[in-house]
Amino acid sequence: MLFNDFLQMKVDKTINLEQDGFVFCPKSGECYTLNSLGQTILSWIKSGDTMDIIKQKILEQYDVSEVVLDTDLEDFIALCVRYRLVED
Amino acid sequence: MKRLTIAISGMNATDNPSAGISVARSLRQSEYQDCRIVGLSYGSLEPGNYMRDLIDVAYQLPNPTEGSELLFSRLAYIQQKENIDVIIPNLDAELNSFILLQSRLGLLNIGTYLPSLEQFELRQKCNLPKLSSLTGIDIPDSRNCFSYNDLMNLDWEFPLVVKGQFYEAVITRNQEQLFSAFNDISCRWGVPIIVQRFVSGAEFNVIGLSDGEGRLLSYVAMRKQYITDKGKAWAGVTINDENLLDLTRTFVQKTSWKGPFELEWIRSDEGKFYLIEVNPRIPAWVYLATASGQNIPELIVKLIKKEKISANLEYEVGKMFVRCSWDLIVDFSEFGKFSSKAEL
Repeated sequence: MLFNDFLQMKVDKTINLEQDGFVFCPKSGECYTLNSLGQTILSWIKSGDTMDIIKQKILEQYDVSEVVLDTDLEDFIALCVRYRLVED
Repeated sequence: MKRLTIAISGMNATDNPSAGISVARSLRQSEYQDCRIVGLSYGSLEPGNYMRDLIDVAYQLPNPTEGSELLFSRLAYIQQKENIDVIIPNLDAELNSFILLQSRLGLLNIGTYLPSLEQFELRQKCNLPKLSSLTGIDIPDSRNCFSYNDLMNLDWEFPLVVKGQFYEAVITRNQEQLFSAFNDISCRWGVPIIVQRFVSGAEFNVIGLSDGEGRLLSYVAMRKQYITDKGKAWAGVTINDENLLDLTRTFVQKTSWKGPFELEWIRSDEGKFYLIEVNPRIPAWVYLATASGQNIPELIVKLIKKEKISANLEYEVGKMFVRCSWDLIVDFSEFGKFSSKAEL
């Protein structure tokens, strides 16, 4: 249900996503550090992947149940929305 | 090109630094890099007096409270020895006198680029509501308080910010703290004391330069990354927010501001910008603007020398400054010389 809501998500175009996971928002001056998976998810969103595709990619690469993934992904995306890293 | 002599005040570089050193540093990286820089200080322990790589010669000025006549006499004396082309004053407390002396300094061939007295008054903290009415820019709810009665009549919820008319700001969370802050700050800076509703959010500063005809000539916005207990930015990063640029343009157009300025903002958690202070001069973090591509001290000299400049508001975003403390080692005789002769 969550992923239907976020199918159209986009990373704010102005945001700098560095290789080392450092994220800088030039508009607000806010900065964050992402772990490697967070960084990967954000880069997938940036490249246009829908949430369904992202979810499939994670399930293929990580030993995680779908239920746990749904919860964790929901938390992560909620944080990204709150910090204005991604938008509808 | 003639080698210019440029006098700069604000030689203090402590945890509450003035802009003078950063202005000198900016000029050393401008097309006036070979200029002779005259440091104007207010005490023998101001670090700029001893920074020989930036400041060629230093003179002490009379305390701003001693008035504009004494300041003029001192500047006339310095002018005889130094042949100053331009003065860039960098302290709030001295600006009133420099504005009053502008035309007389002009007769001594000293150029300045300053706001008018009306503009200077309009940006006083106690006049911010008037500025808000004129520009339409939001400020936190604010009231000028002269007495305990005025404090008692406030019907706002805590926390409240208590501000001196020139310096200092304290956040108070109950009635006792409010009265205590009123007493404390009014002892130093007199009344009115400005009481403002507290706005929670991130702090942003804008540095700008405008031509007195509503045109913004230079602009850099910065988000404070680290704030000292005195409320000063110890670190900051340049940002690019269109809203801030629009608000700054509005300020410049509605006030026809002339000269450099700093606007201090809080962005509330809802994303609304509130103007909390207007400083009528270059701020201490000006070198960040220089490093980002906007050399405002250089532009001021150009404007004074009536050289052509084009308004270019481009700068590098994501450039950060981190302030540092640095011990200067000075021969004690230098300190002695400055203390006794008021020049070095």
